[in-house]
Parts: sequence; C-alpha cells; structure tokens
Amino acid sequence: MPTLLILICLAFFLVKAAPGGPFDFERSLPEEVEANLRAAYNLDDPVYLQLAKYIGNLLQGDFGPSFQYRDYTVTELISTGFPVSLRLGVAAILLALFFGSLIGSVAALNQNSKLDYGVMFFGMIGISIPNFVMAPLLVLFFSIGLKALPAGGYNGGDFYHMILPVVSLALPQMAYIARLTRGSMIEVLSSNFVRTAKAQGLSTRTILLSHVLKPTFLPVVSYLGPATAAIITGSVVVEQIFGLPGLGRYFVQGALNRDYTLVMGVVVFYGCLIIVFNLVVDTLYGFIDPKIKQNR
Amino acid sequence: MRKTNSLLNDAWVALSKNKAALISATTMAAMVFMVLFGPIFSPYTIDETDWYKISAAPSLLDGHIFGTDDLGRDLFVRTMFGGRISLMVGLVATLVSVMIGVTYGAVAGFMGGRIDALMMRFVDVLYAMPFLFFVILLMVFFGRSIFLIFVAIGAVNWLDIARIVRGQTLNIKGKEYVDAAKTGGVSTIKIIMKHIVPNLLGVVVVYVALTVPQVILVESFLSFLGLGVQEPMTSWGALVNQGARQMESSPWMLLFPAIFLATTLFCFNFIGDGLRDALDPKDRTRGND
Amino acid sequence: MTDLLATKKLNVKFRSRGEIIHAVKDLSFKLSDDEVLGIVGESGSGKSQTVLSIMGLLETNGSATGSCLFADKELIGLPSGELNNVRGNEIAMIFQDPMSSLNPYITIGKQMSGVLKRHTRMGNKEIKERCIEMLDSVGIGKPQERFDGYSFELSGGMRQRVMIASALLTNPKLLIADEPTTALDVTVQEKILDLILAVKERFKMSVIMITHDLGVVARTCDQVLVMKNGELQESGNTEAIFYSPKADYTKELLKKSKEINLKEQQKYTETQDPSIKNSLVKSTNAKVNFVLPKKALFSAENILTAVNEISMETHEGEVLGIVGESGSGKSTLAKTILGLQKLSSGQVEVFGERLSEINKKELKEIRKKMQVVFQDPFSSLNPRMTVFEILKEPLDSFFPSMTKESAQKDIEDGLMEVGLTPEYLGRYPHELSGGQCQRVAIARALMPKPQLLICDEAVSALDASIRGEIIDLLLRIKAEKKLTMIFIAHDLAVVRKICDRVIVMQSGKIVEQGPTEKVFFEPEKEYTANLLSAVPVPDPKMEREKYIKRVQAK
Repeated sequence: MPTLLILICLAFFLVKAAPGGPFDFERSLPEEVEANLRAAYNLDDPVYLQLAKYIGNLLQGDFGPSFQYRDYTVTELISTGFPVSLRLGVAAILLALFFGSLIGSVAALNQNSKLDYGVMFFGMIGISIPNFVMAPLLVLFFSIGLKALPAGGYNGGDFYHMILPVVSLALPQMAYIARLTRGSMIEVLSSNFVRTAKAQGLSTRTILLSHVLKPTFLPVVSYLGPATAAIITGSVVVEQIFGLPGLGRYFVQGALNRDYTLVMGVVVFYGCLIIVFNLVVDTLYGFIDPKIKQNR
Repeated sequence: MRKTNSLLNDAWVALSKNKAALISATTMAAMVFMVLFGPIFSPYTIDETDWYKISAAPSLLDGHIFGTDDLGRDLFVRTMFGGRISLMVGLVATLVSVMIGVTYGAVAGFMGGRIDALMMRFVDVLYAMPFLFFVILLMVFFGRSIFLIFVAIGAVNWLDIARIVRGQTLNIKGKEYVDAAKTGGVSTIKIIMKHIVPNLLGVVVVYVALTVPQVILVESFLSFLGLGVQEPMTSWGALVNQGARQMESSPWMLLFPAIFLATTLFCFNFIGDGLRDALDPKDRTRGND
Repeated sequence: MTDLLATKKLNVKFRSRGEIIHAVKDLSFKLSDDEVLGIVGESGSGKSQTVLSIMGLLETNGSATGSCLFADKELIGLPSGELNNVRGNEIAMIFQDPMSSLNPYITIGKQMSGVLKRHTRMGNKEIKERCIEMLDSVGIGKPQERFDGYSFELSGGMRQRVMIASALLTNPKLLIADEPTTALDVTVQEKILDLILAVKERFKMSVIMITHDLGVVARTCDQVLVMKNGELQESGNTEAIFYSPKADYTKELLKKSKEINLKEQQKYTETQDPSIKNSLVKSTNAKVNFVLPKKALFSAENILTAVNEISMETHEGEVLGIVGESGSGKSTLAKTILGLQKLSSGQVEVFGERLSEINKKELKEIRKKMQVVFQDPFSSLNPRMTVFEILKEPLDSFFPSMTKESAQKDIEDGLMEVGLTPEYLGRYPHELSGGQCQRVAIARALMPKPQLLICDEAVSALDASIRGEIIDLLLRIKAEKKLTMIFIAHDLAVVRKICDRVIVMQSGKIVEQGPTEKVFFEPEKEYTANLLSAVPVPDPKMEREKYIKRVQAK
C-alpha cells in the first residue's frame, strides 16, 4: 500500500515538474481544455490539496479527462482497452507457465542429455530475442511466408487472430520459466531429502509428486510477479505490432502525442495492477511455503 | 613467485572452459570491431539517399551489402551506426547502474542494522513499480535525449545489483578473515578496500555482463516504440521498428538489425551465464584437501 | 546364526571428468542377524559408498559391480522396482545430516505415512496410529502435534529421532546408519546411539554403523570393518580389533585416537599457587545480549543472552580451555575478549585495560599483544590475497616503519615456524589444503609477536590425522614463545590434552571451572560429568560398562 502511494505521488510530481507539461500554460492550449484541466486538477488550490484531491478522484476511479481524445475520459479509455490487454496477457502467462514448467521439468529429469542441452539452448534464444523482434519474425514466417495466420487485427478477439500475439508475448517468459524450473528441479533432485525418499523405497512417481514438485515450483511462483510486469510491458509492443486495440496501444499513442493525462493514468493503473498482483503472489507463496506460514 | 591477478585469472580459466561463453565472447569481439570500423569501408553515409536504389535488396555489386531502406539509405551503415548507439547505451547505462547499485548495496550491507533495513525496504518499494512505464513517462515529459536514456535506464537497473551486492557484503562482513584483519589492527577503510571490495568484484563482473543485455533491450524497446533515439541517429530497436513496417516488401530491413540485436543479447547472456557459473561464490568449489 | 547380508567382491567406481575413481575395491563382508557391524575409516575411505551402492543410491556417475546378497536376494543390479520393495521395507537407512534429510515442505506425518503407504496395505487411520506410536517410541514428546508439524521446528537431535522413527515403521531387518551422529553435540550423540541400540534390541534388527569415530564403534558395534582408500584393512570382532589389532593402519588409527582420548589418569595435585600469576584477561559479570528479529510487528523484542554474567580470569603462561556444546556462548565470549563484540553490561579487562573504556588506538595496542585463530581454515583467509599478502598485513598495520627486507625475513621465518616453506608465499588459499590454511592462519596470528593467542575451535574442522599435527604445532609454539592461550573447543579430548585449566559453559553461563585434571576426574557438577561420560572412548570394555550403568540408571 505505501508503494502505491509513492507511485501516485511520484507520477503526480513528475507531471507537475515536467517542462512543457500539462500545467505549463505557456503553450497555447484551447481555452476549454485549460479550463477543464484547471477544474480537473484544482490548480487554484495549494499543492498538497491538489494531490489529496487527485488521490481522492483516483479512489473513485476517476483518472481525469484525456488530452487527445477530447470526448473521452481516461477512465473510459482504460475500460475499453484493458479487456483486450487482459485477454492477451492472461492467455500469454498461462501459456508461458504451462509449457515453461513442462519443458523445464523434462529437461531437469533428463539432465545432461542431448534433449536437456537442446532445451537450454533454445531457452537462451527465447530469452535473448525480445518480443518486438520475435513478433515481426513470426508474422514474416507464418503470415507472409506460409499465409497460415492473420498478420494483425483484433477481429473481436477470435482464436486465429490471437495466436501470433499470444505466442510472441509468451515466448520469452516461457523460456525464462523453463530455465528457472530446470535449475530449481535439479537442485531439489540432488537434495538429501530426495535421497531419503529413495532410501524409503518410494517410486519415482511418488517422489516427484509428493517431494519434488512443491519446492521446485516455489521460485516459479515468486517469479510470477516479475513475469506479469514483463508481460504487461511486452503487451505494449505486441499490441502495437498486431494492431490490437488494447490499453498498451493507447499508451503508446498517448506517449507519442504527449497525452499527459492518459499516460499518467495508464502508468498509475498498471502500477496498481502490478502491486496488487505482487501482493496476491506473496500471499500465495505464504500458503505454499510452510516456513513462511509459521511466521505469520 | 607467481604473480597473477587471481580474479581475472579465475574468470579467464572459467570462461575458456565454457565453450558457449568462449564462442560468444569471440563473436561479440568481432561484432564490436565491425560496428566500430565497418562504416569506414563503406562508400555510403548514414543519411545519404541513393535515389536510384530505393528499397533495394542486398547486393555485393553496388556496395549496399545489406540493401537500402525505403528512403534509399544504406542499411549496412545504418545497422553499424545503430549498433554503436545500442552498445554505447548498453555500456554507459550499465556503468551508471553498477555505480549506483554497488555503492548503495555496499553501504547498506556494511552499515547493517536499521539503516540497512530502511535502505532495503526502499529498494523493495521501488521493485514493485512498473519502471519501464516510468522511463516512458520521463521520456514524454522531459523530451527524448540520449543522455536521458542513459540516466533513466541506469537508474532503473541498479536495484538488482544493489540487492546482490548488499547480500554479498553482509556475507563477507561475517567471514572470519574480516575478524582476523580487525584483530590484526587493520583500519576500517583498509578492511573495506582490501577485504570487502575485492571479494565483491566477482559478483559485480557477473552482473555487469548480465545487465548489459537488459539495458540494450530496454533501449531498443523504447526506440522501437519511437520513444528512444531520434532521427537522423538510429539504433537497432528503431531499425527493427522501421523494418517491421516494410517487411512485406523488403524483409532485409527487418532481418539484418534483428539478427544483430538478437546475436548481441544472446552472446551477452551466454557470457554472463558462464561468468556466473565460474565466479558466483554460491557455486564456488573449495580447495582440495 | 545365518548371514543376513553378504557381499562378495563389491566394487564401486565413479566416472568424473574422464577419470575413473575406484571408491570401493573388492570388498567382501558378512553380517549376521541381530548384529551391529561398524564400518570405520577416514574421509575418502569408501565406507559411505559401500552402503550407498547396496541401497542403489549411488550418484548417476557411479556404478557398482560384484555381489551383495540380502536374505539370499541379489541386490546389485536389481531393477529399481524390485529394489524399492526391499529398501525402506526390509532395509532402512538414516543419514548424517538430519537437518537436510527431511523434506521441509511437507509435514512429518506425510513423510512417514508415505513409507507405510508404499510398503503396506494399512488404512489411513491405522497408518497415522502407527506413525504416532513410532514417534512416541523414539522419545519424541507430543507425537500427535509433531505428526502435523514440520521438520524445521525441531532440533538436530529430534530430527534424527524422526528419521529413526520413519526407519522403524516397517519393522526392517537391517538398519543402515551413515554417520548418524557426526553433526550432533556429544550429549545428543549419546542419546541417539543409545536409542539405536535400544530399538535394535526391541525390533530384533541388524545394524550397519558407518563412522569415522573409533569411540562410536567401541560403544555400539559387535563386528568391525576398517577401511582405507576403498580397501578393507582388517575385520573382526570389536574386542579383537581394539585390543589386538593386526593391520598397521588399524594400529595407527587406534594410537592416534587413544593419544587424545585415554591419557593416563593422574590424581590431581595442586602444584602452583595461581595468585602469583599475572592475569592477562579478566572478566567480571560480562554479559552479551543479542536482539533477535521480531516475529510480528507488535510483539516484544526477543533477547538472547549469549554470554550471561561471566566472571573469569586467564593467567599468564597457562592454556585455558573453554568447552561447551553449541549455543553455550563460548565463541561469543572469545569475540568479546578480542573486542569484536560489544558488551551489554559488566567488564572485560585485557592486559589491565577495560575494553569498554578505551579508544581505537589503545585497542590496537592491545590487539598487538593478543591474536586469534579461527575455526574454518578456508573462510579465515581472504581468497583474493596471497599467503605473502596475508602475512604482511599485520606487519603493515602494527609496524608501519618496518623495512621491506626485514618484513620479508619475518614473513619467511614465520612461515617456516609453522612448518611451511617460502615457496607457499605466492599461493592463494584455494591452492592450499585445510591443514596448510590453518598453518598460515597461525603464522598470521604470530606475526605481531603476541603474548596471548585465542584459538576459537581452531582444529574442529580438520580430519583427525591433521588435527593431531596442528595440536602438536600449537603446543610447540606455545612452549617456544611462552604464550598464554585461550583454547575454545567442543571436543573434550583435545581440551584435555592441551589445557591447564578448563571452564565449562552451558547456555551462556559457567557451569564449572578448575584445573583440567580436576574437572575431568572429579567434576563437581552433574552437567560436566554427563558431558565427560558422553564422549565415546575407543575402549569397548569401558564403553560397555558405561552403557550398562546408563541403562540401570533409567
């Protein structure tokens, strides 16, 4: 919670401090906009009151009016864009999580085999190729080359239109999760308590399910926070490339057009989202790791 | 008496044993050389338009070995110049973040107690922030200058390093050789300089190698969105962006910068991994008994 | 008696970086019903690999050949499905490190139930009852609660009890214990060893006991195998091995361990009047508190008193031993004397100066006369400095005006003094063995020509044979330089060998202090007596008497 407050304050003062910013009225702004802004940000009040009122508005879900899309408030823009982004992001993270842990586990169980080396090599490629490079390459191959999948557009979010965006968003995270899982599982497999379980005559299946699984995926669970942040960031470019009407696209448009209120609104919105998600992950982690549970 | 710098020696031995890292290091050296000296051997310059060759495919005959872009500019020269920017941002911003991170982490670790707890709490708070968005916010409000890119990226990436350096400092501080040095009458400053800092170097080297690709990634991300380096200067991210728009008609515009960017990130990640396997104190094997 | 287990020409090999390491060579031995077999040897003797190969637990780069018949069933080469019917069922095993041998992520009950689910057809309720019954029978209090608890809530000794309880669940015919007490304090060790003997009687099992400690063998075993470098040196019944050893290696091992364990009993006679002696260190009601991290935001601060109202003196020329088990505060006391740890209350005077009242410069003057050798030979030397730089550092700080030539000479002399040659000067610590590192650490401590040397567990991390060498070195230097020494250790045998006077500590307090022979032979306090008798000595008859006494006392 204090993080959230700092985030909002930081964003607020950044906007105030910016040269040529929205509160720098040396530039000629249309009268109506200026009046709107003055009203929206209570510019005639002292700074602390302005901040307090801004936070108050945020609490009511009011991010203020947009600079560029004059007929819309930032809140309206967020509520149109976010569902698209959410759909994309959730699909990508589920895909990355499922295949990442699967591939990583298979590699760990076949440690030092050719399969393992292959997986790790492709994992490294996955980490190294950013999604804004991966996405056009996939389009070049699957859409322009094979003509198998659409190159862009939302089309109401149907399955075929979502494949390439989701895959290119998920790939780097999938690679990272695979490497993480592999490293973690190898460490657990060589631990003394697994040796104990073997000495007790438990079958490999039982050992994996009841002894190995949980400690292996603890680091993966704690990576979920950063992974979400990375997916959100990635969605910005992926939406841009595939022309999806998501929040990221509004954000980039806003940034390029200096739509300050929109940019700030989106930053605060995503900030809240990431912070809340981190809280959820922490709680989840606490439920899985008995050592943390004890300390509560 | 053998006089070697133990750290460099260790790093070298470790790297030369790791095939992937060795190949990556060689590739990287070749690429740096190419980026620095390549444009000298080309008859073209970065913003010169060849009116007869608009969007021309790569060809050895006319000297446009990577082809030209939609404005008739030579793609080879542009890719090399873009590489200079990308690599420079990578290095300078990494230095900025390493300097902030090491100082912050070392101070927190060395002071310990409440100060440490407070400083690390602050890092935790920053960790939870969507930083890339903040960088974009900065770019939007303060204009798009290379200097700002350095500072912004550097200021974002120090968090990891600070955490790791702090942990390592705490660890070293508890080592018996530090206690032995104290009983040996060694002053605090000398203990920091001779016992703590040299033992931090290994970790720092590893994280420099791992931070460089992250930083390059952030820069190209910004440039891709059109928020980074501005024309006539360019960077790999900006080139990929332009290439992506023309990929149906001139795929080379996408492929060459993409290959360079991906290879660089790939090499740095492998070098960093190799160094970490070798130098990270966690996996350090003990001397033989 | 029939053979329960018989190995023939058992070989274990490891492939490592293209080399083949032959860990166990042509080992043949037999184990009868109801018998305790000890396998003894130093590190690298192949004693653990022998049992791991029987259990099919070798690392993936290892392989075993030969034969091992268990109840007429060949174990070597048995498919893992069939092997799994044997291990955990007819053969159970417990390990050296109870801290990491239990899974911290699942409850103790779940781990124990897993064994029964695998090997029996018991229902859930029955399984739970059986587990709790076993926990109870190995002396775990509140077994119901522990069943639903986690291993990290328990102490090391308790965890080893849980391991034993899990091993007993299926009434195995053979229990293999791989260094089961090495990581434990000596009084805990005694209890665990007694427990193993007791359950062996009760469940009619055979036991294989792997250990490096001849005392443990003397206490527990009927038959003994002595191993060195993967080869069998000698085998036979325990008394034969201890009282008439045949192999040279066995004789050597026995000699070394008897040297420190069974010193001739001398009747204590007061020969010196300590009041004449000058006291170098004197503490009055010294107290050190540590504030532990709070468990919750508003809970009261947790304070751990590591050193509690300690008053003691060290006289010039003596070797003062401070002994105690882990958590007794002995190392904290040493750090306090060295000025590395602040006092919470009370006074410590070193060379007549009160540590709490002096400034940095005065502390440095005192430290010149007082040096330290720590436990871990590797972490007490900076890995980034050569031996030369390590030895030069105290000279630089204490004698800044010293010329290069005389410093070089001092360093070389210092190195020779601890039995190393000047060719080691350019080496880094990781190029030295543990014993060599400890010699360098001693040389560093001697550089400023101190009057008082504090050894904090200085030999505890070393193998037995090297430990003897380092002790001899310390004694020689002590005599030559007329040093005063404070020797901190948990190993009573070592303390007894070299100390003139002993302080016994427990939970931050002094239990007893006095001249070594007096404390060892006429201890006044029960804690000291228990501590002393808990140490296993390499004499089977004596150990048997002690065991009978303990059983009768119960």
